[in-house]
Amino acid sequence: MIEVQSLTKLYGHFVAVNDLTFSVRPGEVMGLVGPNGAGKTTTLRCLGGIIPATRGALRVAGHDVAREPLAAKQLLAYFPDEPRLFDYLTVEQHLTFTARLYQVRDHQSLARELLAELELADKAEKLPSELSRGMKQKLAIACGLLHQPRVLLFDEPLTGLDPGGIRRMKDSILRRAREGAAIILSSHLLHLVEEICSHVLILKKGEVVAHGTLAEIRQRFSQTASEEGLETVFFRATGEPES
Amino acid sequence: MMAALAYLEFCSWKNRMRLRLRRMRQVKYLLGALLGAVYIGWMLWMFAAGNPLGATRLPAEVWTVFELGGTLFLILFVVLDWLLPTKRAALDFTEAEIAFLFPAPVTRRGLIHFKLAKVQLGILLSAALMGLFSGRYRSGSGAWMHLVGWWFVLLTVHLHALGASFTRTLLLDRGRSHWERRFVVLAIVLVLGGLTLWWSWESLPPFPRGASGGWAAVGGYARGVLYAQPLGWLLIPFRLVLGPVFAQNGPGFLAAAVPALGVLFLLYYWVIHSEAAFQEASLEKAQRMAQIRAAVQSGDWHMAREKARGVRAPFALRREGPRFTALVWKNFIAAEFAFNLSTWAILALVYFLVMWFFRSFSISPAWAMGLGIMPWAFTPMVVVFGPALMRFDFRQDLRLADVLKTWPLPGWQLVLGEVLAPTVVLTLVEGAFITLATLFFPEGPRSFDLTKRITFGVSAMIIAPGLNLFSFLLFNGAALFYPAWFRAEPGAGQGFDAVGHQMLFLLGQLVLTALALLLPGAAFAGVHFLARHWLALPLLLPVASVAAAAVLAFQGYLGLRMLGDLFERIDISQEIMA
Repeated sequence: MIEVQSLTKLYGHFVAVNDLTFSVRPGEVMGLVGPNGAGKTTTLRCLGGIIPATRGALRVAGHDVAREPLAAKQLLAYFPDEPRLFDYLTVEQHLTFTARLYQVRDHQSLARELLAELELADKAEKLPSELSRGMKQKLAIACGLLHQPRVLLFDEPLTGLDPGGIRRMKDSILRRAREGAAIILSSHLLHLVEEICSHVLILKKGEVVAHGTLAEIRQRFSQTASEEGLETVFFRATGEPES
Repeated sequence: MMAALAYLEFCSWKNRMRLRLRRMRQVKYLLGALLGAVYIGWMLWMFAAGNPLGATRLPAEVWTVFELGGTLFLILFVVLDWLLPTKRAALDFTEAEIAFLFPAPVTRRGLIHFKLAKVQLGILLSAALMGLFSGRYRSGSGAWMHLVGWWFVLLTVHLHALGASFTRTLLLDRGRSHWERRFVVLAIVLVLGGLTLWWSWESLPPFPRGASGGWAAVGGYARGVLYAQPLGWLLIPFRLVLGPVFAQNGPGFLAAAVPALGVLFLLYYWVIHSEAAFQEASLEKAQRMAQIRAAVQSGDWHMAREKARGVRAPFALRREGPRFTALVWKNFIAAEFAFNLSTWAILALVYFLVMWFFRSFSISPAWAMGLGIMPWAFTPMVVVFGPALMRFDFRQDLRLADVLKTWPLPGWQLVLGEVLAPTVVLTLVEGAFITLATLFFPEGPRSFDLTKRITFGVSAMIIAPGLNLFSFLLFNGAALFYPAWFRAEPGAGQGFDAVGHQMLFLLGQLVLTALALLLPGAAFAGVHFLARHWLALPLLLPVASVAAAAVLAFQGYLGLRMLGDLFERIDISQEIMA
């Protein structure tokens, strides 16, 4: 569903991502982790068609992101770390607008379901300026999910959500994976990655440090017989100081 | 406390300057800074060396008139301070200042001193500008007196506003509503105003009319108002404040400064000893100001309104149909949000009814003529400045560039969707102006008759959509080519470089528009030349305009394609990384 082949992204002479290759199949949730500046957001932005890759091939549901951007974009949803909303559209108008952009059939009932799921049903007439940070995040998520994308790219999806919202978001991600979506989740919350991701890709300075299932990663970097947490494995893999 | 403030202000200023200097490594900012510096320097020189009011050249009568005018202005400020505001007392702090100062061991008095010290720079700058605009710096020794004199006035006004806000808050806390306060203030104003009018009627000679008395007569009348008792007693505090500004020499200034300082000190004592709470309202104000700054910097200055509410969509957006219409729909909502178009439509209707009434009943031809010329005067301004003001397009959405990039739309459709709504809105506004101008242009022996006016109006309306589309493409093209110039960033709208940038852009707009009008102009002239023998003027101009509009539309189509390709290819990495 998501295929990345030799992705390289340069900002001038700075190498943000170097020769990155991986794939995510339907039903898989891949955690993208790494220290600040590792290239996680750049990778997601290249996959989302937001910025062009300098080299390499990226395919979303069989569509080349560079050559068939519209077909690829129709099937994906990108959720930035900061909710990006229109100041002058209400919650409901955001969903109507998104429905037309993606030509969503029967969007009213889908929108109602999503608003109920994300506890925004009573905020339909509110502007973003009247919403809390968490509610804005929920609205951005509702807009992203409205066209039922088959590829979901999350950049720190839980920022600003309350405990209930976090629980529901995790359930929602897992449910969509079970329904066949391919999901990449970039996060610094390693316990979240451990909880919901089937695979992990660890990046450092734009290079792959480790890639595989959670069990494979643990096995590779574990120094003891007992099962170690992803946090310990992460520090060992990236060589970052633990304190 | 004051040392901390001085450190904060100095470091902030130093870092701001360093940031601006670093920005000038880029040619666009360097060019802007040079141009801006030359422009501002030229303006200052013009004011300083020009020939406005010289301190020593004006006769004493004129100064007396100015003194009376200044006194009336001060009275107005004082009355409005008590009459209008409804908000609780709040001092202007930034969010960062509140975060650091409010939890710190700083007394209430310390916070007020911080605030008063902070406004000094602004007040001094304003005082310097007042001196500059009034040409006092040319008069040698009068310059410093003028500067200090204006500092007295502006600080007094500021302190009074602060003290009044504290007292209003205390009254509110003691259960006195805004309307009760206003009632008392209005009653005082009406009683004193009524007594003054009655006294003027009885005691003063009639106000000199026409050119019979000149400045001497008006000055004499002003002196009568200022110095005759008992009104003179009432005006004493205001005249004391203005005294240093109108002092004619050093000793006179020193003599006037002492009582002015006395008034200043009384106000300071009032402010410092007031017990009104201002912290909570200051916090709210700081948050609101931060929102306004962010909104203005990102071009969403309509979000700077006090209370934003959702607006009704202009039409129902269904799933079927071209995707770019979603953007048009969104931008129509933004237009209604920004300009409250329905209110303007009502204003246009009111203007229509007023003019119809004037015309139908031949009431006040002078007023009818003045009002009738207004739409003609405003139409060119709308054409030139409309595209700069109506920013509900890419310029507004540029901060969401990463989201726009994820949408399944080809670039040219995205550009079309972004520019169509402002083009339609501007065309409608121009249409309204042209219609009103056509209908109500003053009738007279040398003016157009209605047939000619309709011919010109129709021709202008044929050309308007294409011209507007081109103008918006120009602005949006600039936003896409130079996104950094349109992006919200700290200090982006300040400094010489920002002024120079605006000038460069205006110049570029004029040059490009002139170039873009070459071909349509040639088409217009060609058709006009060829058809002038067959068609009468009422048909000739519209037909030639259709030819010009067709060329403009073709140019617009090419522009859409070009900008669409640009948007698809543009790497916004540098912008969204910043």
